[in-house]
Amino acid sequence: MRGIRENEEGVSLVLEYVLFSLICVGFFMIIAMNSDAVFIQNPNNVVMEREMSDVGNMMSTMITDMYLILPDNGYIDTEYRIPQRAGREEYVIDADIAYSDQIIEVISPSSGKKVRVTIGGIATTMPINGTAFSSSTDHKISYDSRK
Amino acid sequence: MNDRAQLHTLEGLLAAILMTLTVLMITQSTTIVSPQNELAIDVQLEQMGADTLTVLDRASNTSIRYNLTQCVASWDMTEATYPANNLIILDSSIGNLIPGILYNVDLAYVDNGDLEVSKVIIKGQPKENAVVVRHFVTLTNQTVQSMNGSWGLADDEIKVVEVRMTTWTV
Amino acid sequence: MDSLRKDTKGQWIALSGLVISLIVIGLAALANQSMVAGYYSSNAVLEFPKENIRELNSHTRDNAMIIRCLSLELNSTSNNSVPVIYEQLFADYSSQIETLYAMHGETVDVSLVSLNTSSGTYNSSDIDIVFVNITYNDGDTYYVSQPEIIEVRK
Repeated sequence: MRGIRENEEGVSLVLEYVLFSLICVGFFMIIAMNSDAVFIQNPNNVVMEREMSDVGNMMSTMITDMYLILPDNGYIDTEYRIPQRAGREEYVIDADIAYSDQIIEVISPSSGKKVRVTIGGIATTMPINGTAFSSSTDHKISYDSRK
Repeated sequence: MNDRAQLHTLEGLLAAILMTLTVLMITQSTTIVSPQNELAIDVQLEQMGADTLTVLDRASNTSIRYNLTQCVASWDMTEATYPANNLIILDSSIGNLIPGILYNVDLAYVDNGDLEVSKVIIKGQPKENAVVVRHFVTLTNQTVQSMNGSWGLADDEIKVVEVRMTTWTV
Repeated sequence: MDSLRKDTKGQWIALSGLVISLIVIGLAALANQSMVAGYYSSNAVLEFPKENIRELNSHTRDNAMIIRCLSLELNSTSNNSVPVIYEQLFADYSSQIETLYAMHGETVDVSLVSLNTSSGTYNSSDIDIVFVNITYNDGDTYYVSQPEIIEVRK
């Protein structure tokens, strides 16, 4: 008994074990609590930001291209394909505010994330309106000079 | 008291912090958007090619020697074989407008109801990200005669020719 | 056990851990840069047949003028009237352009609607405006100009 009390070699090992366990438990708790935000939410936000601005730029490009070739007396429509989800969320392309603000909004209704893309003043000469849901099957932009 | 274990523990802690910081930095960094991907280069190529043909088509004779219609009218109806090109006036005009970009030019036209496609400028084998642009010209016997071409059109005949240019970069 | 406890030769292992983590950071930065950002916006530009439609339109306009010159010229040696020659030449043009577009999987239709003159006589100065119907369809994009009004007097 006395031998064990005076022997100090084991104490450092036990202390090391306790310290190490505490640190591991602390580390594990921090990781477990933040894993969703760090590993899922942040990458998802980055991906959504990019995909939504990509889609917004696509709409802006297509509208500009169409504007360049609009017939004086006639009709043009074009189908386009967009991804069903940006990151993990569905989104809406909203062009209804284009006339007043010269922008198109890409909005995710579930998280409220919003990306705005300008359309450079086209809407003052050519009225633009409409909304498109990413989950619907057909997407189309059309223009009719006679309407 | 043996205090070596603490040093090892600190080392372990430091390694853990380093790894955590690495993961945090990678996942949180809003990454740099680089538009220089392959498709963006294709868009540029298409735009430059289309503009080149439009410039050649629309240019007045004071700005360039022969426009696109005249170049095509002067064709001697023989196909090019690499590396010899047989529309040298067109080749030099295009080469001046898009230096550093390689291109092949084909002419497509309807002959007695059949479609004919002939190579007139060959710069090599297109790479996989090549882009095709096309432009149309209309030939009459008058334009062909004035350029000494050998299209052999009748006086009351028009010939629509598609100038098809394949462009790519190396 | 004692030798294992006093052994402090692990520096290389610790150092290699640092090196590997630095490599991982570099790779991650590279992978991020070459991601597919900008795919849809670039693809839309490539897929939308802007140049094809524009070229169909502008070439038809050019042609209306070329055909006008040619038909007035032919009229001096032919028994047919200018409108008849014009219609024949235009039909020839539209069948050729339709074949050339069909080669690329695009359906186009270019047809003459009417020749308009200010005086009713078809001599060299009188045909001013030509009406042409143009349609274009490549499966995704449908374009109609009915009529395209072309001023042919220059």
